[in-house]
Amino acid sequence: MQQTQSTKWMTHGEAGLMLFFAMAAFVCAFAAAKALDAPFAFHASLAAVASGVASFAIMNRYLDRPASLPPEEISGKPNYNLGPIKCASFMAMFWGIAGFAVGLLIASQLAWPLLNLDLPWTSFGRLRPLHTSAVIFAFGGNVLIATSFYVVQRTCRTRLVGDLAPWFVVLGYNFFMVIAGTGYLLGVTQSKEYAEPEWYADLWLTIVWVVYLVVFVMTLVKRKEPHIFVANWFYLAFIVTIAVLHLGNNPALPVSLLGSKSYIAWAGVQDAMFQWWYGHNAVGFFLTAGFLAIMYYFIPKRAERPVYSYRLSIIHFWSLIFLYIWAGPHHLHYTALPDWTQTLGMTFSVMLWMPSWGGMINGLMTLSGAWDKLRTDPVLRMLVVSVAFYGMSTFEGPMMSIKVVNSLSHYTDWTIGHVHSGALGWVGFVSFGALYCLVPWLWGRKELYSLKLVNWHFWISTIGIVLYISAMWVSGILQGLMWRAYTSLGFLEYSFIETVEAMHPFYVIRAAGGALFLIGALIMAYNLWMTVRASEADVGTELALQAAE
Amino acid sequence: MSFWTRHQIFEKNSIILIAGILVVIAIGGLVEITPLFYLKSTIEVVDGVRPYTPLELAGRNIYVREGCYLCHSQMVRPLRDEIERYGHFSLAAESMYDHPFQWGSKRTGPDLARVGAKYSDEWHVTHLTNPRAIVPQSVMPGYPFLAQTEVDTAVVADNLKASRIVGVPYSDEQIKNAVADLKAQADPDNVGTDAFGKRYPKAVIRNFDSKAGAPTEMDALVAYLQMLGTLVDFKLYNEKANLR
Amino acid sequence: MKAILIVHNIASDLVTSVWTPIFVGLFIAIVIYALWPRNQAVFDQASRMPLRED
Repeated sequence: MQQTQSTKWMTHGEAGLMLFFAMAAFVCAFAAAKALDAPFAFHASLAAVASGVASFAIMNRYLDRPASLPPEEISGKPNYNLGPIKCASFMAMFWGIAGFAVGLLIASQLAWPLLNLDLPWTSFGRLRPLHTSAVIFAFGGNVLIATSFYVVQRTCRTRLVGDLAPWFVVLGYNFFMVIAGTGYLLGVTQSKEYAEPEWYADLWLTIVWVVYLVVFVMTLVKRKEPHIFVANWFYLAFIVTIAVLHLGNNPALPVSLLGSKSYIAWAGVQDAMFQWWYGHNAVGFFLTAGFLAIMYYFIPKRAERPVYSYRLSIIHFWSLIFLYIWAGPHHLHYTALPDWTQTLGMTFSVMLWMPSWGGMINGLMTLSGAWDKLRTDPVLRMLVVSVAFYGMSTFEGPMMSIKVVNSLSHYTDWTIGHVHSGALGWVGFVSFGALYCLVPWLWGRKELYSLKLVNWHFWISTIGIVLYISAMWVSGILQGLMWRAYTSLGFLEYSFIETVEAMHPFYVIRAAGGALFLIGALIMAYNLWMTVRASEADVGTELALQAAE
Repeated sequence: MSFWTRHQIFEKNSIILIAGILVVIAIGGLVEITPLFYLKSTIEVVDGVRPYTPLELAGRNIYVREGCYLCHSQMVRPLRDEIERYGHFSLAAESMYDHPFQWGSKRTGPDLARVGAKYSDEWHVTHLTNPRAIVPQSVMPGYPFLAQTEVDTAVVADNLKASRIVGVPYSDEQIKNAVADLKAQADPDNVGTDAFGKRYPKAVIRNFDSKAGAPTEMDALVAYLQMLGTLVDFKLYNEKANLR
Repeated sequence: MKAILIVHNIASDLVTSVWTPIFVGLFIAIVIYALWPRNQAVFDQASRMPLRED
């Protein structure tokens, strides 16, 4: 014992990061004291407290740990780092439920406006970014961080690079979400769709994201396999491209370094183009490439058979990332954006249909010869149905990007319906499937607590999605048609408010669909919780791994 | 065999994989975005378009803060029904000083690009305070707190300064007198109205919330809404000059 | 502004002259590579990576 004590030193990472956080705590406390506005003071205080806690936690962790860091291998097998993945999985579930609940609230506000309560922090305009950020970036982001850290280790047969770095990524990313989410409620927003966080949150995310990229790439570099598995290509494209998009769309000048308000560098048309170049590729690389990586690892793993065509996956990858990046202008049809840009965006969007369906076929056909598993394994069914939804929304998307269709669908609920068939059906279900696989693996359980509950989750959520998207299709197309309806005398037939009134029943149905989806997620959380809490007797092979953490 | 094994470079080398990804994604962005900085139709200057007054800018910041763009677009498309419902289609120049742009993507409520001068100030104040008092079927949230909150004058000049750095042509004089101009625009009896009128020709001076005392956030937001889409005189505008 | 113009001029020149054929060529090369019969064995091996346990 004493021998180990005498050789125990802090690593450079531990010492450096502890010092960094200690200094950050002071800087943030100073900024909080001098802040020009209350939200900034609140956020600076939060950052000061978090930095202090982080600094203390690093010291505590150092004191508790043995003299040497966890070994790379234990008796010839890679000693995988699972702690940060467990944390990210838990946070994914937490944010998922929070995000779905806020979604249900704002859906209800559109049906019953009194629910806005006429308070600043409960109005639709402030809650809606909270909903989108919580489900896309907090739920989806944590799922992507958790699965990417898991998949990259497993397919490279090596331990994740870094001791504190993976924890920094997970906790730092979740702290970003807290700053962003509380900011929206306090009115701190850039009001650029899906890029609402203000300058200081953006800066922090940049730091976290660079560390994420470094951890991921360095793990790839020290892999024990000759080949980089295709899922890792998709993860890498997701991480790299999101970094580029984030930097391109968010250059802003803070009015003061002690205040929350900033002005974006771009203006008008240019800002619009940057925004939807970012916005559409957030869909393409965050919500598609990242989750396709999940598809390419988890479906083969769960079905216990290799992906249908590895060749197709290579073509899928390169054509998808090449075509997606051009598609942004279809969000700006018939606007003041030049026509040729719109046409270019439309052309590439339509072409995008092909690689998308190539990927779908690859995912679905992985089950060829094992279709019977869909009957017995509701987790696999969830994964496969997610791919079906992917196919559906990647057909709908190109169709809506055609200018004639877009002139009807744009500005209506059809867009909302399209987004949710992708978000609930594809991203939601593939994430649920991955978490249902991941949690037993991470905590060393043989199986989930209850497959029956998974089955319930599947059916309740599916009904919820169907209600949601069909209500939005009808209301969207109805509203689009009402806006352009003329009387026989050549006057506009409906006033705007008449079209709002006509939406009411569909908004009620949509809220009901959202409620079902939320109930499904609550069932899932209970199921996962019981899986983790399962009796010690079930704990098998991975005890050694847990001891190593 | 050896030819192809050497070409497995992407699968074997993560750095080259990153480089490949970067090249492939960069090209689309560059081609679509960069021309917008010099094409005639996107950087045209149209008579009448001017930077926001301090009060309008404060109102716009409230519009941004409350997330109005999530339900209201500010972009009239050149489609027959939209032009009849809202007015002339939107020009690129009309949002040239918008940091950020607020074109929006959803019309839960109507487009606001040309809402200025369509309704009275009183209509707006009542409607913003309780939308259903005027439009019973409305699903818009009420914003009664705006009328009870004074505009924070401490940051007004800094807002203009920051805007100037990102490209809005505010003069030194406009920045120096920002607070005075903000107060003057919301108070026709203010001694500074003449000076304000010189700095911002044709800007409307009214007590927008018709309450005495310092300008409220309601004053600012209504001032912003009332100028939206009113800057360009389409009787004089030459459509052919900027066809897109 | 000037830098942006220069970057775009380079980019648009490249697109209109060499990049389009380069990208088409690159894409065809990737497709040929993916479909080349001799690579089948490597791909089969790669596709089984998630299934091997340790």
